[in-house]
Amino acid sequence: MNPFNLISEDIVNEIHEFNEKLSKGYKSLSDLGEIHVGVSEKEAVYQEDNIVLYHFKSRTKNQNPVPLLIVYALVNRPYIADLQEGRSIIQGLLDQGVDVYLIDWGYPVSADKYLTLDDYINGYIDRCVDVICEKYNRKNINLLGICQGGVFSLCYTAMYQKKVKNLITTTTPVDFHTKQDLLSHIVKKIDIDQIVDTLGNIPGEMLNATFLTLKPYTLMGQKYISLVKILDDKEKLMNFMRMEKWIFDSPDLVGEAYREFIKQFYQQNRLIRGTVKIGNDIIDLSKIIIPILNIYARDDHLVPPDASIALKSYVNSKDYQSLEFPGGHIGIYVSRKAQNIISQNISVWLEKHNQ
Amino acid sequence: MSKKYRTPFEDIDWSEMQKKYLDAFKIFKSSESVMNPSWINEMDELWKCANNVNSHRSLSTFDAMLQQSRIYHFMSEQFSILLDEIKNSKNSREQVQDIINKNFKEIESYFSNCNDSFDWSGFLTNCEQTNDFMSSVFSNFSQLLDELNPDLERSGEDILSILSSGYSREAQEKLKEATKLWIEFQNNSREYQAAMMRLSKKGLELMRNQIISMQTSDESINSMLQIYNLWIESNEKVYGEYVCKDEYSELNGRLVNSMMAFKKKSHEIIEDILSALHLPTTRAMNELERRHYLLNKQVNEMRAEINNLKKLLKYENTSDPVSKKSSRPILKSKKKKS
Repeated sequence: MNPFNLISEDIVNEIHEFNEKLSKGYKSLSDLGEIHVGVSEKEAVYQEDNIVLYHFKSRTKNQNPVPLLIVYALVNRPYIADLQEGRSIIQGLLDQGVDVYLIDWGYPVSADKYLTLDDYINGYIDRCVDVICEKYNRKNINLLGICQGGVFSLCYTAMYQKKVKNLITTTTPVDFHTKQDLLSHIVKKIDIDQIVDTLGNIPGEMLNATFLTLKPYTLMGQKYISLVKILDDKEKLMNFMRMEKWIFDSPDLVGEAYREFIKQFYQQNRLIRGTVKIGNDIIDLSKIIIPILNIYARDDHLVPPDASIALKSYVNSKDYQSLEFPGGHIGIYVSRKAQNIISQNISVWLEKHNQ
Repeated sequence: MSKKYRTPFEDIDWSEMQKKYLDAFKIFKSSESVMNPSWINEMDELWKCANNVNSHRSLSTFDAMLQQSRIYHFMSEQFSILLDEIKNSKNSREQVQDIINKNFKEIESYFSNCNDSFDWSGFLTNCEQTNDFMSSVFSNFSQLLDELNPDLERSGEDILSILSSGYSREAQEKLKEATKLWIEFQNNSREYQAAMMRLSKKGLELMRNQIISMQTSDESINSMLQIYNLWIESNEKVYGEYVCKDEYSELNGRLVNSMMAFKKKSHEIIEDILSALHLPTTRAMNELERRHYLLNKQVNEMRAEINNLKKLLKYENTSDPVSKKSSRPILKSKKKKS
């Protein structure tokens, strides 16, 4: 009859404990100091405008002979892939003997607002690939795209397949109009031209707010009540704050690239229709025949699994493999289990496909 | 970075803060304060007064945590009352349901009147700037707003019906257009907030129904945290379903589009002022940046061509025919295909 298996005194005790933790948390948070991110040693090997191509220092004697270039999204910062000791897929890959490069898009300034997807894909990405190919005297390299970076990697591969030996996409949307895709519902009726014409570059804070409204109660509420539980654990608190730092470290998004991306991909869903236009090129995913490993997150609230799984239907790769990660959009890069599942699967797959 | 507190001393009376700090500490020691929401306010003050310059992120996080703690405390208080009422009742199924229904009405009324739950529309964070702009254009804009509310539309129409005249007629017309757009944005903003409020009620309804359904199932609630989590899940479910509807896409579209339309008009007015003062305008800056972008593009194309030529030259100068054959450069054209 009574669905409550507790009495009011239990709640008082629970709140008392909660308050005590909260009061201690005040001190813990004050004492935290600087929040450091990024763990693996790296060196800048190429720089152009705001972008930097990094090469990570090897951690093993034997390395996979084909270098891997990670293409990150334009949203947020790429250090999520190398957040801290033991929570870094880059570190995991290095430990498995993968030779890792990464493009850091930097923080765009007002003068960058005219950069288009053509400049990013046919320009920056292609030049970075050339730099690596030249260094190794190779004709092709491996490509790993993260989220929007995965979309860029797909477009790049469709145009420059000879330069890509194997393609790995992680949490990459392909079909932007699946039922669970909240982001596409949010932007559906927004006049993107008006936004870009008014603001130029899109403020990072605005993008961030959009991401938070995908799951507002969880991301703006529950998360902070759960935080109280770990306030007296310095290590866990530091982990939480690292994530907070990353979440709110949102560079502005280049206006023209944003216009093209939201309109062509999110509003018009043109990638699966084969009508996306990058510069003078039309992106046809069916041209892709190289080996593909597509990794998606089962509980992804930003890129629903169906949006990623769709890739298989639109490419012509005979060697297509997918991997479901039991976690969310961020957990796939930073959780402890990701270190084993993601890094290991990628390196084993690459090893098999680098012959 | 928190926009609210750029420095820890901004808008803060330091001596008052110290007093509050001590008061807050006293409250920590008091067991009576356990369920007292004002405790959270004191905690808030304590945090503000003791925080140092270098921890903006911590400050924002703590702000968010305190904001949620207020809700958590309120819910704890409400559910303590509810549990006491159940304890003192005959515990029949109907009675328990009546107590749950009665208390949920109080919770609903709290959420309808409080501003503590969520900043519903992230896009609305730009509202402050919008307001600032209007204040700079109309020196007494805040007063004007007060006058416009609550009968915003009617008062707005009155202002907009005044005929523009004289030397600055064009500028007056633009200001009127901006005002019109601003009112439209305000209406959309209210509509959005109202929709979110309706969802919040639906979320509570869902939560209540789930609790009531537990009367006939094996499930039970064992902690306050579980109650809070149930509230979160119910709201998230209702919200997620709504966002997938076209109705939401339309509503969100209207909100963002009206805000941007107003901003665009505001920019135009500022541009006119800057231009009249012979100061650099955004239009001029945009043109410069566009030219810079095109130049940069040309430089990149030329650089690629020079590299191609260098490779070709190196290849042509190679005397050994065997190595010449193996090292023939792949020349980059403007567009390469797979």
